[in-house]
Amino acid sequence: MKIEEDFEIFWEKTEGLSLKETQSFLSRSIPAAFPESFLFHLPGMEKEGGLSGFSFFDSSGAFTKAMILETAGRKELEALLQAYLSFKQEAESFFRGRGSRVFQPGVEMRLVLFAKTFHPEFIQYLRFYGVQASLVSYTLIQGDGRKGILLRRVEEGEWGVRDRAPVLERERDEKREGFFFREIGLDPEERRTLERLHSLPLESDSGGLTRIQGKQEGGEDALF
Amino acid sequence: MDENTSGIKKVAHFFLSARERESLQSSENENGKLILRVLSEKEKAGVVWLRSWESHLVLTSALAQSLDRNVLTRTKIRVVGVKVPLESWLEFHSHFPSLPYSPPMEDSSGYALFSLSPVVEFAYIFNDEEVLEKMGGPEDRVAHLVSLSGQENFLKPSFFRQLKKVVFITPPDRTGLTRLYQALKWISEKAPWLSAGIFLDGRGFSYSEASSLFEEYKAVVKRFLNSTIEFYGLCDSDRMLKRDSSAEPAVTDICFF
Repeated sequence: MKIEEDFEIFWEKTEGLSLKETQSFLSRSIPAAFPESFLFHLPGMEKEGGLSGFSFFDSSGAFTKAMILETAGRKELEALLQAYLSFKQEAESFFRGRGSRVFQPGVEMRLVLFAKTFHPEFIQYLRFYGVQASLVSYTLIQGDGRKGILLRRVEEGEWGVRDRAPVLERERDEKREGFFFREIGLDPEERRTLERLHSLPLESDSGGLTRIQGKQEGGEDALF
Repeated sequence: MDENTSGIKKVAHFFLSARERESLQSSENENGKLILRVLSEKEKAGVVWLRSWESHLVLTSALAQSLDRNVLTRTKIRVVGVKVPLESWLEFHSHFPSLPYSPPMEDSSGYALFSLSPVVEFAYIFNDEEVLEKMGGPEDRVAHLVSLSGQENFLKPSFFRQLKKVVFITPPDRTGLTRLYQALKWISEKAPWLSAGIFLDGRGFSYSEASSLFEEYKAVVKRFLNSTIEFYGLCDSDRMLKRDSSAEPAVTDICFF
């Protein structure tokens, strides 16, 4: 998911900008900020833990949740994690039964966070907890009789966390693919014997197992 | 959150609804439900879910819940998690909403305790060195189930000195069985005091198929590693976690032997 260049969006407005209007502004900015995305509303809650949000499919078809904060600091983090979890569950229950093949429970949800201010500490904690999120700062602007919103993608490098992020990324990947007991290798004879073991037959509907097998197939050599 | 609360009950129910297979005619069965006996001895056992890395805390806790009802009438069960990543924590939290949303911050004690039920508690370990050893002496009547996914690359082999037994729960496919063998080989070289048992985790196989596979596998382990493994049963963690209807769970989701 890639956000376009920084840009300004203006709409003719006469009243002041309430939070609701800000949210509306931000949701309308999505097609411009994320081309080929599809904005929609899930029934029920789009608010959780004092945060508001909205949903869209990005150009790759991934389910993405945008959340809006005034300030993104340490004390907002718990509310954010809470909201992240609630939104995830909300999306899972919405999609369950409608397209469980498409959106399996447990599938990673993408996040876009809008805030006027991002504190470095917030970003560091976010990365520490492994939450993948695009960060977009917004500024409400007015002039020449018009009101609008200025969006800017927040680069992590600005906060000195860019150097850490790839390290955390790597740690996460290792954790996912890692196998604690791998340091002991197998002798060729052991390997041959294990390969001759008859594996148990699988039912045709054992989607989970088949899928997982497929996923591990490529990494199998790394075991030895 | 009601849905979440019922989630763990459902998972626990799968364990509770397990029935001992009367037909098993192997030496293992003479001792009754081996897994229950092993885990009820108030010892420190490692439970390694080789497939469900994201959900291992949920599944171990569900196991603990069922032990609570079935066996350990006067013993507390402490599920232990070590440096749990956020994804696992959120998954865990979704089944136990009383837990905080983010993993606890490190403090001087080296661990944080949470209550999951009147007899099951959860301990989050920050530091894997000797913390487990210091937790809960014999007078405390606490059985420790150390929940692992097999991917804890940060652990040092010395961590396993704190455990008496280890239970591997593995899919019965070639990758799973190869990993399991590698783990057993690791244990026989690095932690020979550990006794090991296995569960086969998956679906689409009958008991007799599993049993004959296990006999074959056990012979391989005996031949190359000169060690013995015990077969504790079958389960289907995938189905346990994904089943979303409130219908009666199938007893085949888990079977203790």
